[in-house]
Amino acid sequence: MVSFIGGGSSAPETVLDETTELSGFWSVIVLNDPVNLMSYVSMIFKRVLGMSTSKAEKHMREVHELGRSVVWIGEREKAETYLYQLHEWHLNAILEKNEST
Amino acid sequence: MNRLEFRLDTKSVLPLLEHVKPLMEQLAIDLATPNVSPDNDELMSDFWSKDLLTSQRKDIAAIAELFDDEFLDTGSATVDEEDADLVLRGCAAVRLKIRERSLEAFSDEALESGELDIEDFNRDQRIGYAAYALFASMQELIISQLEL
Repeated sequence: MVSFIGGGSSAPETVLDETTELSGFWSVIVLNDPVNLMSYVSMIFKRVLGMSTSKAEKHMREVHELGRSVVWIGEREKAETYLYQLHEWHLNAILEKNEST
Repeated sequence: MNRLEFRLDTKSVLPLLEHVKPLMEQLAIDLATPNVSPDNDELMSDFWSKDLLTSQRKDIAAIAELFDDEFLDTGSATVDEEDADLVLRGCAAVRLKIRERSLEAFSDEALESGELDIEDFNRDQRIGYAAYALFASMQELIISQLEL
């Protein structure tokens, strides 16, 4: 958030609010789709997110059975990088602000 | 995996390739999934989609190369290790498009479980489903080789 403080004839002073909308932690969430294979989804979790086989399969099953799985939580910039990579692999994925952290 | 070779009956596969050809052309223009940028900024969203489309075009080009004229002559399609990711992603994009174009009449649950009565399919659905299964089999084979 940017606020401008008036100062007569002098140039406006810019004050940056450190708690911007994008600060804090973000969840990368993969949503279920009926097309992509379970083995394909697990492989992507391992490749993109560096998960172990058992962790990748756990998240894959969550996507399949619950319709979604939080696969990563962290800062916005890295979350966007992961999101882009998951989109590149044609997975249905979104970002959500993590309110619990 | 250094190189994986698929040997297919061209006579059986040709109608499936003809079915997916216009879908592949469409995939040069439209993204396979409705994924959007997390950014509300229009310019950033545009960059996001354009970059994804550039990436997707490479995936589709890898599939087109796999089933080129040489394949039609020999029935042999080879995937080199360095192209495996492109082919895997290309297969996913094609399958997503087949689902949207030819298999839209079926519920997600039916498609996921595979509990479909092929006897009830019309011609377009039958060929679409065969192509859908072919590209899935290719993905399964490539993944199994990559994970050895």
